[in-house]
Amino acid sequence: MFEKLIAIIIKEFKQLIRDKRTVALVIALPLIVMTTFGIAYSGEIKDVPIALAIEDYGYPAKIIINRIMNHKAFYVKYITNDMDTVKFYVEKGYVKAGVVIPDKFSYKIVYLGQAEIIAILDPGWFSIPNAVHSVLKGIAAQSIDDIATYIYSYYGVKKSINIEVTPYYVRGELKIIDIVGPAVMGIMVQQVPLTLAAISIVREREKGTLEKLLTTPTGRFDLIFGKLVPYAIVGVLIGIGELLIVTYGLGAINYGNLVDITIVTLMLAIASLGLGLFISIISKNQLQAMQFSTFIMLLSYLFSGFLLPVEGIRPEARFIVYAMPIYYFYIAIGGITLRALSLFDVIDQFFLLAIYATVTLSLSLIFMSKRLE
Amino acid sequence: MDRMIIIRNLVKRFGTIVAVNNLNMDVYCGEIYALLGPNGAGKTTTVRMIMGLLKPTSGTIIVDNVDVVKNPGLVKKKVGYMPQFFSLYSDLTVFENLDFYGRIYGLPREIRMKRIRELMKIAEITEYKDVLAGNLSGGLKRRLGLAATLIHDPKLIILDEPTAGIDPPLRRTFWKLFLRLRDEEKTILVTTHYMDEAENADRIGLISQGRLKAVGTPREIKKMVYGGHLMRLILAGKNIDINTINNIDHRAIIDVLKVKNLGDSKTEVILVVKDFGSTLPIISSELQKHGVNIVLAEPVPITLEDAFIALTTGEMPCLKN
Repeated sequence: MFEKLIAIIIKEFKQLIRDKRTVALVIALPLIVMTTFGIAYSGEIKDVPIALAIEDYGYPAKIIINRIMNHKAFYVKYITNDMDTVKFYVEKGYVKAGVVIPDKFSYKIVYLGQAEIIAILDPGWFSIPNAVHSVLKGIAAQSIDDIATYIYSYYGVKKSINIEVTPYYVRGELKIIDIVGPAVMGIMVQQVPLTLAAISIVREREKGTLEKLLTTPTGRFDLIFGKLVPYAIVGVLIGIGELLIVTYGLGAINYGNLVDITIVTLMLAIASLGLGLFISIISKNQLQAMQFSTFIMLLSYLFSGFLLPVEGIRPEARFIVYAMPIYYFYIAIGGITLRALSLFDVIDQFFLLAIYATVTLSLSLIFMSKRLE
Repeated sequence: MDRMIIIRNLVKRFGTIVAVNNLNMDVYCGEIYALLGPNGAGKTTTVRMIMGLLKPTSGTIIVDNVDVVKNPGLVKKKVGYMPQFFSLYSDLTVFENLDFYGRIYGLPREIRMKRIRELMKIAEITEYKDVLAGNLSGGLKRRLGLAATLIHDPKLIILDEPTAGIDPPLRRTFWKLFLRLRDEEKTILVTTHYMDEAENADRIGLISQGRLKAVGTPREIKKMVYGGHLMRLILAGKNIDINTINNIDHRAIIDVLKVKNLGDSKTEVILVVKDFGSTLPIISSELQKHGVNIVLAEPVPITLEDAFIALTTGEMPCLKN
């Protein structure tokens, strides 16, 4: 009764396990993703670059400052004595958060029993503001006893004290769409051209059209860049289209210049195409190429720095984040659209994307065989 | 005669499998050379190596005085290659496919358009100009493939099983076209496993198990089976036996394959002779001296298939009564 069904099931199993690389992809990729995810996401937030404004140098302030300086969650990149400077650094994206120990902090805590430290937060960094706020509240709580001991030993007064952590959001609070928009745009711009490129050469190989093409005077450069240009244009159009929908259709914030956005988007598309073409060259068939592409998409979601900032990923797994072109794009596009930065302000990320594109395209050129074997 | 392709000691191994085994082959300028062999004989591997698609394990391939391994790019400009299977873009139209390959070979627009028009006419696909290649029938796809192969007017045309799976009328049309191209001084290397169509070639290379077993014109190949032509005689006379034939002292007779008494004083004899026309009068007069008359003399046809099997396996053709 089920003979035909069983025959098909057996055939499918045989086909699935016959090619060793496909087996490896089917079994190993999910395992790799889960293992890496488990390792990467099991750490605590660490080394968030912050700017610290010290407006008070009393002993209680020093206790707080000392804890901030030595806390593993923070990497104090700038120290200043001015809150506005910290705000500027946060607004420009030079740091991901700022902490201000305000003027008269020590006076207030000694004489009033209550003082505040200010957390300068950029909601554009998705989960960073909550994490920084939470760490600062912990530091404040841990410091209470030390400060109380100091007050008792110095002034002979036992008193209960309270330290508030007041969040200050640069440019106010953001809607979810403001933050998610650029991230989704990145995924689209990365994934669509990457997938198109990933199947492009292997499809020609499978369909037999590559055999004819390889017998013409077409060189590797023509083949690689001939495929790159249309896919890159598609990638940019998708990205810009998505941004326009999010901005004008859904009302997301966009302080960016369209030219800057287009240039950065184009560079992500090229970097993704380089990766896609490389996948296409090393894949034996379209199934493998699609699996690689899906693998990259999963990694992009998990390790783009969007879902969990790079500071929340265990240091030994951060190389995965740095291997994702979308990571650099996410910083750059977030800077342009949410922080009103120019292309010049995010030139580091732009160049890293350009290096990424150069490396992947060079690898594609090197590994692209002009033969069928 | 100038040689378009020179292959020396060519070997191609895939792991432990030897696909091409010490192949030596010459294709002369302006000839149709048919590489004839069964499936798996090494034909496609050989042409793929000529086209630079596969790297030889060892040996050399020279095409029009250019070493294929050292300078594949230069060779590709001179050669038009039609793979065994349809290898054009199904989602492009007939015209778009030809235009694409015209551009790939760097043909200027005017020349390209003229060439496309000519080739569509020759291949009889003009009316399908705007049809997607994927929607064409098998035969039309082959025609389009051939047109794309000729787009840059190559000196050497390499066709891998161009007539496999197409109907006999179209095969005949294709071969007419090949002969026409040969007359235009093109060199054609065609692989096939169809014995009948290989007879149209100027020369045939019989390939089996990666080795070239024999090379020559179709007539020469057939002659190689017995070392000469077969002559069937019906003789009238008494007491005819093998000695009667052996007594004919003439160097034109290479071998006696069969002597069979048919009864009624008639005997069938099959001889291997150097040449049918010149040998027959000599044999006739010699036999008459022994009182034997020739009732019937006819050549025994050997097909290319017989020759192929005999030369590749050693199994001689069955000589029917």
